[in-house]
Amino acid sequence: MSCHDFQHKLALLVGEELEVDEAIAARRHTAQCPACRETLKQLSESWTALRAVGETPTEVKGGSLWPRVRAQVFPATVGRPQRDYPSWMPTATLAAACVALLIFVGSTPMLDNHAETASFVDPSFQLNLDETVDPAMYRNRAPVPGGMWSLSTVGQEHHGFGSPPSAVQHAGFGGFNEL
Amino acid sequence: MILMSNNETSTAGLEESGVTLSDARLVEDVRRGDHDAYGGLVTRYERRLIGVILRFVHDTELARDLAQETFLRAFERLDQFDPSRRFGPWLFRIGVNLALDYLRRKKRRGLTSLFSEAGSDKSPDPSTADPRNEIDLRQEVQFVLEQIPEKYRTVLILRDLENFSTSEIAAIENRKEATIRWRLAEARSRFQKLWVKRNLNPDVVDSYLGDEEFTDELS
Repeated sequence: MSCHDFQHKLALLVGEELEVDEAIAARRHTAQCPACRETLKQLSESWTALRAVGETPTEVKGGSLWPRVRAQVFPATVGRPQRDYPSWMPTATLAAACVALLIFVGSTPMLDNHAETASFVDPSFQLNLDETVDPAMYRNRAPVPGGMWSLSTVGQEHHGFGSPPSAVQHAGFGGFNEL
Repeated sequence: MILMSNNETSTAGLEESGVTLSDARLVEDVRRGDHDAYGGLVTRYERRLIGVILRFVHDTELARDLAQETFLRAFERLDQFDPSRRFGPWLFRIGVNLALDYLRRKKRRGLTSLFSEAGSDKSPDPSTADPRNEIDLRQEVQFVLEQIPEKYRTVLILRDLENFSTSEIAAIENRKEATIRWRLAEARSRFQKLWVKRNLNPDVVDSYLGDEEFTDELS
């Protein structure tokens, strides 16, 4: 084995990392080889410096990292009480509420096609453009206090907003009365 | 559930009937949702991890930040951890890689300084008799280490400064032990050559003339 081959062996010899037989062979070689002996001396010196630094403990200041790690890994559990219901509960509750609302709304008359229409509009209301309007029919109509404009048949029962027509004469214009 | 204050360390939950729980057991508990089990792993490894990272970055606060990031990443990747392997080397691999990544980024930004702490142009402290004595052994070792390529420097730090075994380093580096032994030998040879060159530099040699402790150590 040449000196070059022994270089790595010597580097491990200083740290006592060679097997016994390898260490014996390396020491035999250095005993006979001045160059390798010098190399071993320098390796021992530099390794001693390294070990001296290694044996000086690094000063680790500060407290535990766990509170900071915990706050980042488990943010939901820091300073907040744990919920005592499963995670699907809010979604399920919302879905159940929506279904209940739909059932309720679906059962009301307003959305039922077969139910009677709510009486917001007078069922007798009609507009026939072909019909000749006699202004005399409207002369005895009085304005309704609500001031609502409407077309209406005269002499029929009033079903809409405002007051029913009265007998007060109204000097209106044209064919439209103010109810 | 145990809440710990900022400066409190706890090994609560680590012992069961007087027997210290293994890392594998704690990892399994964490996977089952036991948060305190991860606290046990953190408190078990944090000081050693900070110490190792500190060997690379030479800044305590930075080392703490990188160690914290190490624990966060380890937690995120816990499902990738092979429970038949040891947790410690796996954790240290993440930490060492984070430290090396930081140093690479810093070097790319041109912020690196070989004498980051000693400072060759540091102005003398008038209270010290001989300012040359300020350059201590630790800083000189650090200076030489920083001239060694990363893959050799890492092995040298882990073996000769932090006293990990070659098999542990193999696990940390995810390499065969034979590879680590070869790198270790190469790293020591390179360190030795640079150490000798450094001693041959007259300015550096002069700085040690007044340091009796150091010259005694070398003689």
